[in-house]
Amino acid sequence: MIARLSAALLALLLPLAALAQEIEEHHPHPGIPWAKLAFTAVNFSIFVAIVYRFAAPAVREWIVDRRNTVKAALEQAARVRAEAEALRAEWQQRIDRLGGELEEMLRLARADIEIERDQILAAARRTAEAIQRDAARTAENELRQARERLRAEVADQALAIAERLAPQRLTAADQGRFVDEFVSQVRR
Amino acid sequence: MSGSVARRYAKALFEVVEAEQALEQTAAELQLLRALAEDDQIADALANPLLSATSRRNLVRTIADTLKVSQTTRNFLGLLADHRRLDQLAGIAVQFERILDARLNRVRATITSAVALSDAQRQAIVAAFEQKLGRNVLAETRVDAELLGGVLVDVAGTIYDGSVRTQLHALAQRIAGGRSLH
Repeated sequence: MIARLSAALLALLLPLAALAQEIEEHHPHPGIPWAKLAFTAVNFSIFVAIVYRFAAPAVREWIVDRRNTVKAALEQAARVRAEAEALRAEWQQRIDRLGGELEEMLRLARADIEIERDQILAAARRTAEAIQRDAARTAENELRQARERLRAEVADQALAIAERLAPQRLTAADQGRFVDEFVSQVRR
Repeated sequence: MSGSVARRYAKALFEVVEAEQALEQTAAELQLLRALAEDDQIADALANPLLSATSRRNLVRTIADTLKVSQTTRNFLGLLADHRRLDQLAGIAVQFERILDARLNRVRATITSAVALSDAQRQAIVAAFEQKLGRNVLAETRVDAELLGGVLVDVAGTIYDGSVRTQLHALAQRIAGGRSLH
């Protein structure tokens, strides 16, 4: 259809252009060239009609598309902006809360540290006490053993001396006394 | 096992000689036989399983003739020889003595002292134990200078120790143990 319309317009305009040229060449006269002006006006009108007929819908469609695109972009931008605003607000809240959370975390950390410190100190105290007890016990045992060794040594020496001296020092009277004491004990 | 065998033979012999009223004589003969049987060589001969019955009979006959024991004891030795129980002779003598002591309500004691006891001291000790045990005491005395002083009495295996040596050791133990001496 466009091809047919273009051919018809071309068939109309070419004779009109030739007629206008011929009028100007064969009937020159001073003043305003009305024929040429009319041809130009018709020609322009046809051009405008063609443009309006064929280009306007595409332009309108492009404008509508463009408007829709821009509108969608604006809506998307608004949505994104809203989301960004919400996100910013949320993060702002988080940041606002962060101070408190940090304080709470610090408080808990300090409490944990204090508990751990107390536990470590208590364990260290128990260990120290155990070491002290062991040391005291060891010292006591060593002292007791030394005392026992000394006593045993004294006893052995005393016994050796007594056994050496007894035959020399014991008299018949002593022997008689021993026998009497023994008899008394048996009779008891 | 051997103690049981010795006790059984001793009891049988005791019943025989008690009827014959020869307890003390038989006991004395058994003590002689015991002393003989405790000699290593004689003990080996009595316990020798290779000896024939005739040899064992000849051996006990020789012993009986040498010691001049009674006919009852002689017969008893023959019985032991026939039953291959000559190795139980020392044990039988000990068991017989115990049965006799029990029957006569007496007990044997060994009194050991550092120096020899006077008769009075010995009698005092025996009297004290007779009073304590309610039985007659047959005492034999020994001297052991290592006791240092005092006396030690063994009554049928029970020791009554009044020696100075033991008292000194007890004293030394108390000193070593850190206990008070009083």
